[in-house]
Amino acid sequence: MQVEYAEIVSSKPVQRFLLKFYLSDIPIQSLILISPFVGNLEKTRVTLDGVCKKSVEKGIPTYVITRSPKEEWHQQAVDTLINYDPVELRFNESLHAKLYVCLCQDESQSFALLGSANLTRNSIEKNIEIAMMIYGRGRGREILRELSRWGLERLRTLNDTKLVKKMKFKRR
Amino acid sequence: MDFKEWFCLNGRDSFTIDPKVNPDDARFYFGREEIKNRIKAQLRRSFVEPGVPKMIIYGSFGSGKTQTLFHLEHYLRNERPEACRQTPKTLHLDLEMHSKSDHKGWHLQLMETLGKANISTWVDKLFGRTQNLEIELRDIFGNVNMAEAAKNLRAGGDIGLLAWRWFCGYELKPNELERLNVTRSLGDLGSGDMVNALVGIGRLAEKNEEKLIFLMDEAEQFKNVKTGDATESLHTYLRKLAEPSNSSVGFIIASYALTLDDMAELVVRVDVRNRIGENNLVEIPPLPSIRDVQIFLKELLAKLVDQNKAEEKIQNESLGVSLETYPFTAEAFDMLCEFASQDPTKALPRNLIKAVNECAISTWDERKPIIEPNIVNEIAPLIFG
Repeated sequence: MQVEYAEIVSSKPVQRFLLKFYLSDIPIQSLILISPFVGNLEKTRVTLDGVCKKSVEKGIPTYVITRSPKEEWHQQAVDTLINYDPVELRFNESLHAKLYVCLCQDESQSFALLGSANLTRNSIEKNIEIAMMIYGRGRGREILRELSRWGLERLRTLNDTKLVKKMKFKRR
Repeated sequence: MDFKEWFCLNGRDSFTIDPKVNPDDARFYFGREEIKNRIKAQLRRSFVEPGVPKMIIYGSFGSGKTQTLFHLEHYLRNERPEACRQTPKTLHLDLEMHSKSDHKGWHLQLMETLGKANISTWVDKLFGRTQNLEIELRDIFGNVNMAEAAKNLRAGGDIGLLAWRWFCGYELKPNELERLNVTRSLGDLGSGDMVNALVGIGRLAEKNEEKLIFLMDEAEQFKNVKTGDATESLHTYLRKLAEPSNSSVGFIIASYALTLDDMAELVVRVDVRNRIGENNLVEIPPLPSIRDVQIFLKELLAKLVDQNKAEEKIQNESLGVSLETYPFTAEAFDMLCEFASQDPTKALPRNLIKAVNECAISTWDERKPIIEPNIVNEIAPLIFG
């Protein structure tokens, strides 16, 4: 029997991850987006705005770590992120890793994408990218836990990771 | 100074505990004395009668089912109950079920978790002690085919692999059966036969002074099975394992479920419940009161924070907080406990640990030495709101 907990994605990996997040109707605990460069993803199937709106609608804490923007498109994406309450934004100038994690209440439904692709339109439409999608099943669960711990704890608490915007939640 | 030094963490990067990542974390079981003692007492009794644990634990996401499994493993390995004469051989698996999964898939998962090397080592050791391996194996398995296949596990190469495939329940070709000197494949007679083989392996383990106990997580996966026949075959497999006559293969099954009725029906059907006994159906509830939350958090902080370093820091920097609640101020600590207890369904270990971590990260962002009420006020609604 083969336990399927990982899959190589060579076609639009970031879009595949975002679609899976966006279309999922299961309870999501948190979303982690780590990418040196971030764009608004306009004219792609899931825009950054769409992702943030889902986070607001479902109350999903969303952690974004990127570099501080040097380009206008990157700045625009940062401006988008800043507008949304459940988004926490941090900058780290040494960031090169690209990691996207969606943690679900039912851990077996969680998934992560680790690979070469930035959170940009170019990575979806132009660049040749490859990534590994990991699911929270079987041995994948441990890998996923390690990745989310790295993103949520290790990277966020590095000395050179600067908090730019705190998450805000309305008390129910 | 990095995050872990900032909060005097005890050889770890954060306040998270996870025995799957840090096996050493299995020793922790914070703030749940009553449930912990009840499960351990039940485990001790199970080694007297029926001889192995047969237990089902359930609770909501984040209630600590996985931690319970790892903690029980830690307990069995380090404080072996007197009634358990052999060394517990505990094996973890996360169950995987699909719409058509049946007893064969489950058996295969159990066998793969156990591994060929374990069984062939046991047969090897038995060979070194016995005058006649064949007779001994027939006595252990009570079945000629199983004894033959077990004997062949010692052989290297093709035959050893065939024997392993036979035990895993694969359908073998006639010429492969002939080479193994067996008359049929293991699964030919249904799930009962597979359980008999597994129980036989359990007896083989006992002959080698080991007690086989499977720790099976994610039993909510049984709900994925949609086919009636497959469900029945899985049910029969479990019922047979639960039979009092099985004193060699233990199991502790953990499932997400808010109530017993919430669990996969095949797991809690009355015949299974009667066999394992109602006392072996254990709910892992949220922490029931503010007092329980306080105890949980204090025990967590006491273990994860280096007490000597923290005490020195509190004094040197005149932080004015007690070691008991460090890195929280007393007020922040009480506030967190209150937030966590407002909705009892959310007072879960996973949430509490997350809250401590997030409060600490926010405090670290501001480079403040201690967690103050404003931070808790900011973070706690996000988790418990």
